[in-house]
Amino acid sequence: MQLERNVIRLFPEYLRFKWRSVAGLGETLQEIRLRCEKPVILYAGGEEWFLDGSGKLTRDRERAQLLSGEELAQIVKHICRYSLYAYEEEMSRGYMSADGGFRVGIAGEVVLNPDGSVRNVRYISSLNIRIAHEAKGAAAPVLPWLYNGERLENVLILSPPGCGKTTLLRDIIRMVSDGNDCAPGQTVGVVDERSEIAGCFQGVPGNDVGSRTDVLDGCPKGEGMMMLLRSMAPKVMAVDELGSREDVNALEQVLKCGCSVLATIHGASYEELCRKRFLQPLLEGHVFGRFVVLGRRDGKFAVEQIRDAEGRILAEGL
Amino acid sequence: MLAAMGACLVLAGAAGAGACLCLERKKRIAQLYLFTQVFGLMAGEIAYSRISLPEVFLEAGRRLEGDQGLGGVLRRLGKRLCDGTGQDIRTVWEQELGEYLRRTHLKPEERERILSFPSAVQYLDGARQQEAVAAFSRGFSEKAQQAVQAQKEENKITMALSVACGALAAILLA
Repeated sequence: MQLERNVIRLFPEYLRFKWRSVAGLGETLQEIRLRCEKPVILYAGGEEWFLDGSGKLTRDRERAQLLSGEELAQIVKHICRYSLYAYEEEMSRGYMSADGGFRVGIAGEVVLNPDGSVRNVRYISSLNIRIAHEAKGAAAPVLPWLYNGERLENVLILSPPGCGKTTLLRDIIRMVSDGNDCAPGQTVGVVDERSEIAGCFQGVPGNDVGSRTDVLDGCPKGEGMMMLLRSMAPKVMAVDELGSREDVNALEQVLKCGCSVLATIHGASYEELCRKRFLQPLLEGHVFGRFVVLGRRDGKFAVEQIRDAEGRILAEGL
Repeated sequence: MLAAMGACLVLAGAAGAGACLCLERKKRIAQLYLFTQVFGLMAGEIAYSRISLPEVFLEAGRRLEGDQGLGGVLRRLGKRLCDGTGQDIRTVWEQELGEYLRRTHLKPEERERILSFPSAVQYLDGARQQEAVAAFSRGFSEKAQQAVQAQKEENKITMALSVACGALAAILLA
Protein backbone atom coordinates (compact mmCIF):
# COMPACT_ATOMS: atom_id res chain seq x y z
CA MET A 1 0.00 0.00 0.00
CA GLN A 2 2.84 2.35 0.86
CA LEU A 3 4.40 1.77 -2.56
CA GLU A 4 1.07 2.38 -4.31
CA ARG A 5 0.62 5.60 -2.37
CA ASN A 6 4.12 6.71 -3.24
CA VAL A 7 3.60 5.96 -6.95
CA ILE A 8 0.33 7.92 -7.03
CA ARG A 9 2.04 10.83 -5.31
CA LEU A 10 4.36 11.19 -8.30
CA PHE A 11 1.48 12.68 -10.28
CA PRO A 12 -0.46 15.94 -9.93
CA GLU A 13 -3.91 15.63 -8.39
CA TYR A 14 -5.85 16.21 -11.60
CA LEU A 15 -4.00 13.40 -13.42
CA ARG A 16 -4.19 10.79 -10.68
CA PHE A 17 -7.31 9.01 -11.95
CA LYS A 18 -5.25 7.83 -14.92
CA TRP A 19 -2.49 6.38 -12.79
CA ARG A 20 -4.42 4.32 -10.24
CA SER A 21 -4.12 1.10 -12.25
CA VAL A 22 -0.38 1.72 -12.62
CA ALA A 23 0.03 2.16 -8.88
CA GLY A 24 -2.05 -0.99 -8.46
CA LEU A 25 0.75 -3.01 -10.05
CA GLY A 26 2.45 -2.65 -6.68
CA GLU A 27 5.65 -4.53 -6.06
CA THR A 28 5.90 -5.82 -9.64
CA LEU A 29 6.16 -2.31 -11.08
CA GLN A 30 9.75 -1.53 -12.11
CA GLU A 31 9.73 1.44 -14.44
CA ILE A 32 7.40 4.05 -15.89
CA ARG A 33 8.62 5.53 -19.17
CA LEU A 34 7.11 8.85 -20.20
CA ARG A 35 7.93 10.45 -23.52
CA CYS A 36 6.49 13.56 -25.09
CA GLU A 37 3.72 12.68 -27.63
CA LYS A 38 4.52 8.97 -27.26
CA PRO A 39 2.67 6.14 -25.48
CA VAL A 40 3.27 5.66 -21.77
CA ILE A 41 5.20 2.41 -21.28
CA LEU A 42 5.36 0.49 -18.04
CA TYR A 43 7.61 -2.36 -17.08
CA ALA A 44 6.16 -4.66 -14.47
CA GLY A 45 7.21 -8.19 -13.60
CA GLY A 46 9.53 -8.21 -16.59
CA GLU A 47 6.70 -7.40 -19.01
CA GLU A 48 5.83 -4.30 -21.04
CA TRP A 49 2.46 -2.56 -20.68
CA PHE A 50 0.82 0.51 -22.18
CA LEU A 51 -1.68 2.88 -20.64
CA ASP A 52 -4.91 3.69 -22.51
CA GLY A 53 -6.90 6.93 -22.35
CA SER A 54 -9.09 5.77 -19.47
CA GLY A 55 -6.17 4.73 -17.34
CA LYS A 56 -6.41 0.99 -18.02
CA LEU A 57 -3.40 -1.17 -18.72
CA THR A 58 -3.17 -2.74 -22.14
CA ARG A 59 -0.69 -4.73 -24.19
CA ASP A 60 -2.14 -3.32 -27.40
CA ARG A 61 0.03 -0.48 -28.62
CA GLU A 62 -2.77 0.83 -30.83
CA ARG A 63 -4.96 1.51 -27.79
CA ALA A 64 -2.19 3.26 -25.92
CA GLN A 65 -2.74 6.95 -25.24
CA LEU A 66 -0.06 9.45 -26.18
CA LEU A 67 1.31 11.62 -23.40
CA SER A 68 0.89 15.31 -24.24
CA GLY A 69 3.72 17.80 -23.77
CA GLU A 70 1.58 19.73 -21.29
CA GLU A 71 0.98 16.65 -19.13
CA LEU A 72 4.67 15.79 -19.20
CA ALA A 73 5.55 19.36 -18.17
CA GLN A 74 3.03 19.23 -15.32
CA ILE A 75 4.43 15.91 -14.10
CA VAL A 76 7.98 17.32 -14.16
CA LYS A 77 6.88 20.41 -12.22
CA HIS A 78 5.03 18.29 -9.70
CA ILE A 79 7.92 15.87 -9.17
CA CYS A 80 10.33 18.72 -8.54
CA ARG A 81 7.77 20.54 -6.33
CA TYR A 82 7.52 23.49 -8.70
CA SER A 83 11.19 24.18 -7.99
CA LEU A 84 13.28 23.16 -10.97
CA TYR A 85 16.15 25.27 -9.62
CA ALA A 86 16.38 22.99 -6.57
CA TYR A 87 17.18 20.08 -8.88
CA GLU A 88 19.78 21.91 -10.95
CA GLU A 89 22.66 19.83 -9.63
CA GLU A 90 20.84 16.52 -10.07
CA MET A 91 19.51 17.45 -13.49
CA SER A 92 23.02 18.22 -14.65
CA ARG A 93 23.72 14.56 -13.90
CA GLY A 94 20.60 13.40 -15.74
CA TYR A 95 18.12 12.61 -12.99
CA MET A 96 15.86 13.96 -10.28
CA SER A 97 15.12 12.38 -6.91
CA ALA A 98 11.41 12.12 -6.23
CA ASP A 99 9.56 11.55 -2.97
CA GLY A 100 9.51 7.93 -1.89
CA GLY A 101 13.13 7.41 -2.92
CA PHE A 102 12.31 7.07 -6.61
CA ARG A 103 14.88 8.17 -9.13
CA VAL A 104 13.61 9.87 -12.26
CA GLY A 105 15.93 9.81 -15.23
CA ILE A 106 15.52 12.74 -17.63
CA ALA A 107 16.34 13.49 -21.25
CA GLY A 108 15.81 16.63 -23.29
CA GLU A 109 17.78 19.59 -24.56
CA VAL A 110 21.00 19.99 -22.63
CA VAL A 111 22.31 23.40 -21.51
CA LEU A 112 26.10 23.56 -21.41
CA ASN A 113 28.49 25.58 -19.28
CA PRO A 114 31.15 27.68 -21.04
CA ASP A 115 33.67 24.92 -20.28
CA GLY A 116 31.49 22.37 -22.09
CA SER A 117 30.25 20.56 -19.00
CA VAL A 118 26.52 19.90 -18.61
CA ARG A 119 24.75 22.64 -16.70
CA ASN A 120 21.14 21.61 -16.92
CA VAL A 121 18.43 20.04 -19.06
CA ARG A 122 15.64 22.18 -20.45
CA TYR A 123 12.69 21.12 -22.61
CA ILE A 124 12.53 17.77 -20.85
CA SER A 125 11.04 15.29 -23.32
CA SER A 126 11.54 11.92 -21.60
CA LEU A 127 11.27 10.64 -18.07
CA ASN A 128 12.18 7.24 -16.74
CA ILE A 129 10.67 6.77 -13.29
CA ARG A 130 12.45 3.92 -11.56
CA ILE A 131 10.33 2.50 -8.78
CA ALA A 132 12.23 1.95 -5.56
CA HIS A 133 11.16 -1.12 -3.62
CA GLU A 134 11.57 -1.68 0.05
CA ALA A 135 11.91 -5.45 0.38
CA LYS A 136 12.32 -6.17 4.06
CA GLY A 137 13.95 -9.53 4.63
CA ALA A 138 15.45 -9.69 1.14
CA ALA A 139 18.93 -9.69 2.66
CA ALA A 140 18.27 -12.52 5.12
CA PRO A 141 19.48 -15.40 2.92
CA VAL A 142 22.56 -13.42 1.86
CA LEU A 143 23.65 -12.06 5.21
CA PRO A 144 25.32 -15.19 6.69
CA TRP A 145 27.66 -15.25 3.68
CA LEU A 146 28.74 -11.67 4.24
CA TYR A 147 30.16 -12.08 7.74
CA ASN A 148 33.50 -13.42 8.84
CA GLY A 149 32.80 -14.19 12.47
CA GLU A 150 31.14 -11.01 13.70
CA ARG A 151 32.99 -8.81 11.25
CA LEU A 152 31.16 -7.74 8.12
CA GLU A 153 33.31 -8.27 5.03
CA ASN A 154 33.70 -5.52 2.45
CA VAL A 155 30.85 -6.31 0.09
CA LEU A 156 30.34 -5.29 -3.54
CA ILE A 157 26.90 -5.95 -5.04
CA LEU A 158 26.79 -6.05 -8.82
CA SER A 159 24.08 -6.47 -11.40
CA PRO A 160 22.72 -4.89 -14.57
CA PRO A 161 20.33 -1.94 -14.02
CA GLY A 162 16.94 -2.80 -12.58
CA CYS A 163 17.92 -6.04 -10.87
CA GLY A 164 17.61 -4.82 -7.30
CA LYS A 165 21.09 -3.68 -6.26
CA THR A 166 19.81 -0.73 -4.25
CA THR A 167 16.91 -2.73 -2.80
CA LEU A 168 19.28 -5.40 -1.52
CA LEU A 169 21.79 -2.83 -0.28
CA ARG A 170 19.03 -1.02 1.63
CA ASP A 171 17.95 -4.21 3.37
CA ILE A 172 21.54 -5.23 4.20
CA ILE A 173 22.04 -1.78 5.73
CA ARG A 174 18.87 -2.18 7.79
CA MET A 175 19.83 -5.63 9.06
CA VAL A 176 23.43 -4.69 9.82
CA SER A 177 22.28 -1.55 11.60
CA ASP A 178 19.54 -3.22 13.67
CA GLY A 179 21.56 -6.35 14.34
CA ASN A 180 20.90 -9.86 13.06
CA ASP A 181 21.65 -13.53 13.82
CA CYS A 182 25.27 -13.10 12.72
CA ALA A 183 26.25 -9.99 14.66
CA PRO A 184 24.88 -7.28 16.92
CA GLY A 185 23.84 -3.95 15.42
CA GLN A 186 26.57 -1.64 14.15
CA THR A 187 26.72 2.05 13.30
CA VAL A 188 26.26 2.43 9.56
CA GLY A 189 27.09 5.57 7.59
CA VAL A 190 25.21 5.94 4.31
CA VAL A 191 26.23 8.39 1.62
CA ASP A 192 23.02 8.60 -0.38
CA GLU A 193 24.11 10.70 -3.34
CA ARG A 194 20.91 10.16 -5.31
CA SER A 195 18.50 9.81 -2.38
CA GLU A 196 17.62 6.30 -3.52
CA ILE A 197 18.76 4.29 -0.53
CA ALA A 198 17.07 6.09 2.34
CA GLY A 199 14.55 8.20 0.38
CA CYS A 200 15.11 11.20 2.66
CA PHE A 201 12.73 14.13 2.92
CA GLN A 202 14.12 17.16 4.73
CA GLY A 203 17.02 14.97 5.85
CA VAL A 204 14.85 12.28 7.47
CA PRO A 205 14.91 8.80 5.88
CA GLY A 206 11.59 7.70 4.42
CA ASN A 207 12.76 4.09 4.08
CA ASP A 208 13.72 1.91 7.00
CA VAL A 209 17.51 1.88 7.03
CA GLY A 210 17.91 0.76 10.63
CA SER A 211 18.21 2.38 14.01
CA ARG A 212 21.98 2.88 13.97
CA THR A 213 22.20 4.45 10.56
CA ASP A 214 23.32 8.00 9.76
CA VAL A 215 22.46 9.24 6.29
CA LEU A 216 24.21 11.98 4.36
CA ASP A 217 21.64 12.81 1.73
CA GLY A 218 22.38 14.26 -1.69
CA CYS A 219 26.11 14.42 -1.06
CA PRO A 220 28.77 13.35 -3.57
CA LYS A 221 30.14 9.94 -2.58
CA GLY A 222 33.81 10.85 -2.22
CA GLU A 223 33.24 13.93 -0.10
CA GLY A 224 30.41 12.33 1.84
CA MET A 225 32.42 9.29 2.89
CA MET A 226 35.18 11.50 4.29
CA MET A 227 32.66 13.70 6.10
CA LEU A 228 30.96 10.73 7.76
CA LEU A 229 34.31 9.19 8.64
CA ARG A 230 35.45 12.35 10.40
CA SER A 231 32.21 13.16 12.15
CA MET A 232 30.08 10.06 12.72
CA ALA A 233 32.64 7.27 13.21
CA PRO A 234 30.71 4.56 11.37
CA LYS A 235 31.70 0.90 11.61
CA VAL A 236 30.19 0.25 8.19
CA MET A 237 30.07 2.65 5.26
CA ALA A 238 27.48 2.15 2.51
CA VAL A 239 27.40 3.77 -0.93
CA ASP A 240 25.44 3.16 -4.10
CA GLU A 241 26.83 2.85 -7.62
CA LEU A 242 30.57 3.23 -7.65
CA GLY A 243 31.38 4.67 -11.01
CA SER A 244 34.62 6.62 -11.09
CA ARG A 245 38.22 6.70 -10.03
CA GLU A 246 37.33 9.41 -7.46
CA ASP A 247 34.84 7.07 -5.79
CA VAL A 248 37.49 4.38 -5.59
CA ASN A 249 40.03 6.80 -4.10
CA ALA A 250 37.58 7.83 -1.39
CA LEU A 251 36.77 4.19 -0.73
CA GLU A 252 40.47 3.44 -0.22
CA GLN A 253 40.59 6.16 2.44
CA VAL A 254 37.60 4.64 4.21
CA LEU A 255 39.18 1.20 4.16
CA LYS A 256 42.37 2.58 5.70
CA CYS A 257 40.29 3.69 8.67
CA GLY A 258 39.06 0.19 9.39
CA CYS A 259 35.48 0.58 8.23
CA SER A 260 33.69 -2.20 6.44
CA VAL A 261 32.27 -1.14 3.11
CA LEU A 262 28.97 -1.99 1.43
CA ALA A 263 28.82 -0.81 -2.16
CA THR A 264 27.05 -1.49 -5.44
CA ILE A 265 28.20 -1.25 -9.03
CA HIS A 266 26.73 -1.79 -12.48
CA GLY A 267 27.91 -4.98 -14.15
CA ALA A 268 26.40 -8.00 -15.85
CA SER A 269 28.81 -10.51 -14.35
CA TYR A 270 31.86 -10.95 -12.15
CA GLU A 271 34.00 -11.33 -15.27
CA GLU A 272 32.79 -7.98 -16.60
CA LEU A 273 33.55 -6.42 -13.24
CA CYS A 274 37.15 -7.64 -13.43
CA ARG A 275 37.56 -5.73 -16.68
CA LYS A 276 36.64 -2.35 -15.14
CA ARG A 277 39.88 -0.39 -15.09
CA PHE A 278 39.03 2.10 -12.38
CA LEU A 279 38.31 -0.77 -10.01
CA GLN A 280 41.62 -2.58 -10.57
CA PRO A 281 43.41 -1.23 -7.45
CA LEU A 282 40.64 -2.60 -5.25
CA LEU A 283 40.35 -5.92 -7.08
CA GLU A 284 44.09 -6.52 -7.16
CA GLY A 285 44.33 -5.71 -3.49
CA HIS A 286 41.53 -8.22 -2.74
CA VAL A 287 39.80 -5.45 -0.85
CA PHE A 288 36.30 -6.85 -1.28
CA GLY A 289 35.77 -10.02 0.69
CA ARG A 290 32.44 -10.78 -0.96
CA PHE A 291 30.90 -10.15 -4.36
CA VAL A 292 27.13 -10.54 -4.60
CA VAL A 293 25.99 -11.01 -8.21
CA LEU A 294 22.32 -10.32 -8.87
CA GLY A 295 20.09 -11.27 -11.78
CA ARG A 296 16.39 -11.65 -12.55
CA ARG A 297 14.27 -14.73 -12.06
CA ASP A 298 10.50 -14.70 -12.79
CA GLY A 299 10.52 -10.92 -12.92
CA LYS A 300 12.05 -10.60 -9.46
CA PHE A 301 15.61 -10.00 -8.45
CA ALA A 302 17.55 -13.04 -7.35
CA VAL A 303 21.03 -13.64 -5.99
CA GLU A 304 22.85 -15.57 -8.68
CA GLN A 305 26.22 -15.92 -6.99
CA ILE A 306 28.18 -14.96 -3.94
CA ARG A 307 31.93 -14.96 -4.49
CA ASP A 308 34.87 -14.49 -2.15
CA ALA A 309 37.85 -12.16 -2.55
CA GLU A 310 39.58 -14.58 -4.91
CA GLY A 311 36.47 -14.85 -7.06
CA ARG A 312 35.60 -18.37 -5.89
CA ILE A 313 31.88 -19.10 -5.84
CA LEU A 314 30.63 -19.60 -2.30
CA ALA A 315 26.93 -19.86 -3.04
CA GLU A 316 24.62 -19.88 -6.06
CA GLY A 317 20.92 -19.34 -6.78
CA LEU A 318 19.86 -18.01 -3.39
CA MET B 1 -22.56 74.24 28.21
CA LEU B 2 -24.07 71.29 26.34
CA ALA B 3 -23.34 72.97 23.00
CA ALA B 4 -19.69 73.45 24.00
CA MET B 5 -19.43 69.81 25.02
CA GLY B 6 -21.09 68.72 21.76
CA ALA B 7 -18.68 70.84 19.74
CA CYS B 8 -15.74 69.27 21.58
CA LEU B 9 -17.09 65.80 20.90
CA VAL B 10 -17.57 66.54 17.18
CA LEU B 11 -14.03 67.89 17.01
CA ALA B 12 -12.63 64.86 18.84
CA GLY B 13 -14.60 62.48 16.61
CA ALA B 14 -13.31 64.15 13.45
CA ALA B 15 -9.74 64.04 14.75
CA GLY B 16 -10.25 60.37 15.69
CA ALA B 17 -11.46 59.56 12.16
CA GLY B 18 -8.37 61.25 10.79
CA ALA B 19 -6.17 59.31 13.18
CA CYS B 20 -7.82 56.06 12.04
CA LEU B 21 -6.93 56.85 8.44
CA CYS B 22 -3.33 57.55 9.53
CA LEU B 23 -3.27 54.28 11.46
CA GLU B 24 -4.38 52.34 8.36
CA ARG B 25 -1.51 53.87 6.43
CA LYS B 26 0.86 52.84 9.21
CA LYS B 27 -0.49 49.28 9.12
CA ARG B 28 -0.08 49.13 5.34
CA ILE B 29 3.54 50.23 5.71
CA ALA B 30 4.13 47.53 8.35
CA GLN B 31 2.60 44.95 6.01
CA LEU B 32 4.74 46.11 3.11
CA TYR B 33 7.83 45.70 5.32
CA LEU B 34 6.58 42.27 6.40
CA PHE B 35 6.37 41.10 2.78
CA THR B 36 9.80 42.67 2.13
CA GLN B 37 11.12 40.55 4.97
CA VAL B 38 9.31 37.38 3.86
CA PHE B 39 10.49 37.54 0.27
CA GLY B 40 13.98 38.41 1.51
CA LEU B 41 13.94 35.33 3.76
CA MET B 42 12.79 33.18 0.86
CA ALA B 43 15.50 34.52 -1.44
CA GLY B 44 18.06 33.84 1.28
CA GLU B 45 16.88 30.25 1.72
CA ILE B 46 17.08 29.65 -2.02
CA ALA B 47 20.57 31.18 -2.21
CA TYR B 48 21.86 29.30 0.79
CA SER B 49 20.28 25.86 0.67
CA ARG B 50 18.62 25.57 -2.76
CA ILE B 51 15.61 23.91 -1.14
CA SER B 52 12.31 23.62 -2.99
CA LEU B 53 9.56 26.26 -2.70
CA PRO B 54 7.34 24.26 -0.29
CA GLU B 55 10.34 23.84 2.01
CA VAL B 56 11.17 27.54 1.59
CA PHE B 57 7.62 28.39 2.73
CA LEU B 58 7.94 26.10 5.75
CA GLU B 59 11.32 27.58 6.68
CA ALA B 60 10.22 31.20 6.22
CA GLY B 61 7.02 30.44 8.16
CA ARG B 62 9.05 29.04 11.05
CA ARG B 63 11.05 32.25 11.24
CA LEU B 64 7.95 34.43 11.47
CA GLU B 65 6.14 34.12 14.74
CA GLY B 66 2.45 33.50 15.34
CA ASP B 67 -0.05 31.02 13.91
CA GLN B 68 -2.62 33.64 12.95
CA GLY B 69 -0.21 35.83 11.00
CA LEU B 70 1.74 35.35 7.82
CA GLY B 71 4.06 32.80 9.48
CA GLY B 72 1.14 30.46 10.10
CA VAL B 73 -0.13 30.96 6.54
CA LEU B 74 3.27 30.07 5.08
CA ARG B 75 3.61 26.99 7.27
CA ARG B 76 0.13 25.79 6.25
CA LEU B 77 1.00 26.46 2.63
CA GLY B 78 4.23 24.46 2.86
CA LYS B 79 2.48 21.57 4.62
CA ARG B 80 -0.30 21.42 2.04
CA LEU B 81 2.24 21.29 -0.78
CA CYS B 82 4.21 18.54 0.98
CA ASP B 83 1.27 16.39 2.12
CA GLY B 84 1.19 14.37 -1.10
CA THR B 85 -2.29 15.44 -2.22
CA GLY B 86 -0.73 16.77 -5.41
CA GLN B 87 -2.39 20.19 -5.40
CA ASP B 88 -1.07 22.81 -7.76
CA ILE B 89 1.13 25.48 -6.16
CA ARG B 90 -0.86 28.34 -7.72
CA THR B 91 -4.17 27.05 -6.39
CA VAL B 92 -2.84 26.51 -2.88
CA TRP B 93 -1.04 29.87 -2.85
CA GLU B 94 -4.13 31.72 -4.01
CA GLN B 95 -6.31 30.01 -1.42
CA GLU B 96 -4.02 30.57 1.54
CA LEU B 97 -2.58 33.99 0.68
CA GLY B 98 -5.85 35.25 -0.83
CA GLU B 99 -7.61 34.68 2.48
CA TYR B 100 -4.78 36.37 4.40
CA LEU B 101 -4.52 39.34 2.03
CA ARG B 102 -8.21 40.12 2.40
CA ARG B 103 -7.48 41.02 6.01
CA THR B 104 -4.61 43.38 5.16
CA HIS B 105 -4.58 47.08 4.22
CA LEU B 106 -2.56 46.53 1.06
CA LYS B 107 -3.68 48.10 -2.19
CA PRO B 108 -5.33 45.84 -4.83
CA GLU B 109 -2.28 46.01 -7.13
CA GLU B 110 0.00 44.99 -4.24
CA ARG B 111 -2.25 42.01 -3.49
CA GLU B 112 -2.24 41.06 -7.18
CA ARG B 113 1.54 41.18 -7.19
CA ILE B 114 1.72 38.84 -4.21
CA LEU B 115 -0.81 36.44 -5.71
CA SER B 116 1.22 36.29 -8.93
CA PHE B 117 4.29 35.03 -7.03
CA PRO B 118 4.14 31.30 -7.99
CA SER B 119 3.84 32.14 -11.69
CA ALA B 120 6.66 34.65 -11.58
CA VAL B 121 9.24 32.34 -10.05
CA GLN B 122 9.61 29.26 -12.23
CA TYR B 123 13.28 29.36 -13.12
CA LEU B 124 15.49 26.43 -13.99
CA ASP B 125 18.57 28.19 -12.70
CA GLY B 126 19.07 28.73 -8.97
CA ALA B 127 20.66 32.16 -9.28
CA ARG B 128 17.84 33.45 -11.47
CA GLN B 129 15.24 31.99 -9.15
CA GLN B 130 16.86 33.71 -6.19
CA GLU B 131 17.03 36.96 -8.15
CA ALA B 132 13.35 36.69 -9.09
CA VAL B 133 12.32 36.21 -5.44
CA ALA B 134 14.69 38.97 -4.30
CA ALA B 135 13.06 41.28 -6.86
CA PHE B 136 9.76 40.79 -5.03
CA SER B 137 11.49 41.78 -1.81
CA ARG B 138 13.05 44.87 -3.40
CA GLY B 139 9.74 45.84 -4.96
CA PHE B 140 7.93 45.78 -1.63
CA SER B 141 10.82 47.53 0.10
CA GLU B 142 10.59 50.38 -2.42
CA LYS B 143 6.84 50.58 -1.98
CA ALA B 144 7.27 50.69 1.79
CA GLN B 145 9.85 53.50 1.56
CA GLN B 146 7.62 55.48 -0.80
CA ALA B 147 4.71 54.96 1.57
CA VAL B 148 6.79 56.20 4.53
CA GLN B 149 7.73 59.35 2.60
CA ALA B 150 4.18 59.97 1.49
CA GLN B 151 2.77 59.12 4.90
CA LYS B 152 4.29 62.19 6.62
CA GLU B 153 2.63 64.65 4.27
CA GLU B 154 -0.58 62.68 3.92
CA ASN B 155 -0.97 62.35 7.69
CA LYS B 156 -0.54 66.09 8.19
CA ILE B 157 -3.16 66.82 5.53
CA THR B 158 -5.52 64.15 6.84
CA MET B 159 -5.31 65.43 10.41
CA ALA B 160 -5.65 69.08 9.34
CA LEU B 161 -8.64 68.32 7.13
CA SER B 162 -10.37 66.14 9.69
CA VAL B 163 -9.95 68.74 12.45
CA ALA B 164 -11.11 71.48 10.07
CA CYS B 165 -14.14 69.36 9.06
CA GLY B 166 -14.86 68.75 12.72
CA ALA B 167 -14.63 72.48 13.48
CA LEU B 168 -16.90 73.33 10.56
CA ALA B 169 -19.44 70.73 11.66
CA ALA B 170 -19.30 72.06 15.22
CA ILE B 171 -19.92 75.65 13.96
CA LEU B 172 -22.79 74.55 11.75
CA LEU B 173 -24.39 72.55 14.54
CA ALA B 174 -23.97 75.28 17.13
